[in-house]
Amino acid sequence: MANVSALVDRSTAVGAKPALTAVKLSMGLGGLALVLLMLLGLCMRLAQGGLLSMEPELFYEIMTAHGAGMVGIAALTGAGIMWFFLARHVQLTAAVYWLMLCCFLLGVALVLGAIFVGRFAGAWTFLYPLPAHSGGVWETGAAAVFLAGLLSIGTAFLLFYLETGRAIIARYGNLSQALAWPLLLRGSQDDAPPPAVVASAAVIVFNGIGIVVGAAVLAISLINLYAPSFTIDPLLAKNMIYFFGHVFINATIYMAVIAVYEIIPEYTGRPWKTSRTFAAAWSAIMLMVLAVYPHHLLQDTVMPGWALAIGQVVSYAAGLPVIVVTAFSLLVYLTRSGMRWDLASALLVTGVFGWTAGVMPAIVDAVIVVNRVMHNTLWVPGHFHFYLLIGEMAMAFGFMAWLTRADVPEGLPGASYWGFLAYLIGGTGVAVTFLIGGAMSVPRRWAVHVPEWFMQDRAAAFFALISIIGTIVLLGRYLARLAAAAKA
Amino acid sequence: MKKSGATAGFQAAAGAGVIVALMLPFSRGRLEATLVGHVLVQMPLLVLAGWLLGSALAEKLERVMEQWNRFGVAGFTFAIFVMLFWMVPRSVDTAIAHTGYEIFKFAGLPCAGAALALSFPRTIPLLAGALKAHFVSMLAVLAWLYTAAPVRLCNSYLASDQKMLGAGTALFACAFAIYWALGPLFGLPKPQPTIASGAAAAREAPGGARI
Repeated sequence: MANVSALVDRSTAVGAKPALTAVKLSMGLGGLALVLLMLLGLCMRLAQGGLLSMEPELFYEIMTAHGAGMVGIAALTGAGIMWFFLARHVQLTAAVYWLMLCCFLLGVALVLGAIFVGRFAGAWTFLYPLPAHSGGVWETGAAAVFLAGLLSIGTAFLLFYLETGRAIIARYGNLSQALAWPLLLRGSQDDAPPPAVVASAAVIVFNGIGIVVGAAVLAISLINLYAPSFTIDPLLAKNMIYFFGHVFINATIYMAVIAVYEIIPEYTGRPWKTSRTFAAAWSAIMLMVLAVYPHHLLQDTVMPGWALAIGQVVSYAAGLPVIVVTAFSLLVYLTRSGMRWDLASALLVTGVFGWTAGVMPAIVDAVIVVNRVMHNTLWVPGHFHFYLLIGEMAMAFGFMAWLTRADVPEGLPGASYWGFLAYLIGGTGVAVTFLIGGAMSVPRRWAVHVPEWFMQDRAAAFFALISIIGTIVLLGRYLARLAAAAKA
Repeated sequence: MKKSGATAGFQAAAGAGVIVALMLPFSRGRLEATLVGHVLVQMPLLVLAGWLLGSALAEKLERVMEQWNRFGVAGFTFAIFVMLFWMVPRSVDTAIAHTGYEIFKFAGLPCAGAALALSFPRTIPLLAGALKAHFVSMLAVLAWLYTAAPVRLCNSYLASDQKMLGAGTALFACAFAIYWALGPLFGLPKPQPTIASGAAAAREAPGGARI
């Protein structure tokens, strides 16, 4: 086994020390929760494929836990990455990260209690007025606890963004400087921020807005639970929920990609610099993320036509900065760099692939005529499984592998290689079987499938099992190395 | 930064002047005739007057605040409870009918404004940011509550006034959100040449940057 005495603490600046333990804990908790939620996902696919008997009520409880949990994991691991690398450039307060983690875990406990004790099964999107209309499946209290749990998680991330925003402003003066707008507008900037700061500033802006809107709609939903005569226009509620939800889940990968900007240069020897194009792309992303959510409402024919047109057009455009700035730049940096592959670099590059490829089905689905047919099929889960499993979580595991890599080059030895391969093949298989199901017009969120759909359900379960094995290997490696480093 | 005596004097005079102007029967009657005038004009102006008075007295109260309002916690707590009271429609209604409530409004809201003025400069950016974010989201909720209420909430005002108040509160929420977003985005840049000096400056500055 490689020398692990110098493992784990890879911080390079004084600011990186705060909350290192909390970041490691976040990544470990994220990995453990991922395995558990993947098992729940496997159970759902087995039940759909007729291989496991499951009551529909339980299926929807599991689906709610799976959805809410995966969003939470993606956000927590993304936040851990952003905090770790931002601390290289600005002075952060460790106590705030711990506070965020406590609020987050409290929220998780409330959400899990609402689902598995209170039997709440209204999906993580808590679409109004579903939480108040359970048809007798769950009590009002369960829905309230679920919404309170989401509020607690939202508060956790609000604190996180306030602190990271404060630290960036203390260092760079204001967020426009941190977004490199002087460089963008004038072509030069004396104190140009590194990519990690630019990305963090963009995420702080758009997710801060998203969380404030989310808090408002959660409070409104809570009031409606106990005072049903206070109603809200369901279309307005849906707009607010999808604005919050889409922005929040998008933010996870925009935080995670910071690992690519900070780690890949260590392998290639070519620093990832903030260029004018980079600054323009991130500023564009910042605005587009706020405007793209109407593609979730393309089937709501009562939506204003202009909003749906924006949803479609911005969905096309939103993919471009991602591809130009990150995927294309990554290829340029990798070309003839002579870098030696190991688990961390392989997972990070896979993450960019998963991100880029995972965006494509969403762009297809954002075409209004396609959306009318595809949006309520398994096509959409195909998109976000690709995006999150092969994109965001691959980056998170890449960061975890880098955090615990030895000082000597390790390459990609046996267990790591097979774990990586199982994760990649299994995860891609899960996403592709969803996409095939969508192309076959198999509806999503159905607990019971007809026998004609069993084949792809069972194939999905098979790939899910492989991806779970891969995840266990990657997580086991991380935890074992943390334990070894702690002993050393 | 030290404030000049003239500035403090001007702020105190302006604050007192606004309160007196709002107490005049003409302006009181006009503003309290509609729910929008009462809640979205008179009450915020009373808070603003209190803010001006608080700002004017900040230096004189420095030692007291150091002992009794560390990080602004006491001031914020007081201001939040006063505002909570005046968020309840019945309080607004009763202020029209009972002189005692009216007097409490004219005394309490300026005190809340003064408490905010004395607390924001003392607090940590995290708390200030959290309060601002919460204020904006709760304004949005309040806008919805007044718009969606299935019954008339105030005996003194028409149901149509409620809808108008809801719309006005939504505009207020947007205005505050934009105003508070512009500061962090475009605030006066203070670039620091190195990480070390930046970190040191952040440590030295009381409360660090504003957000």
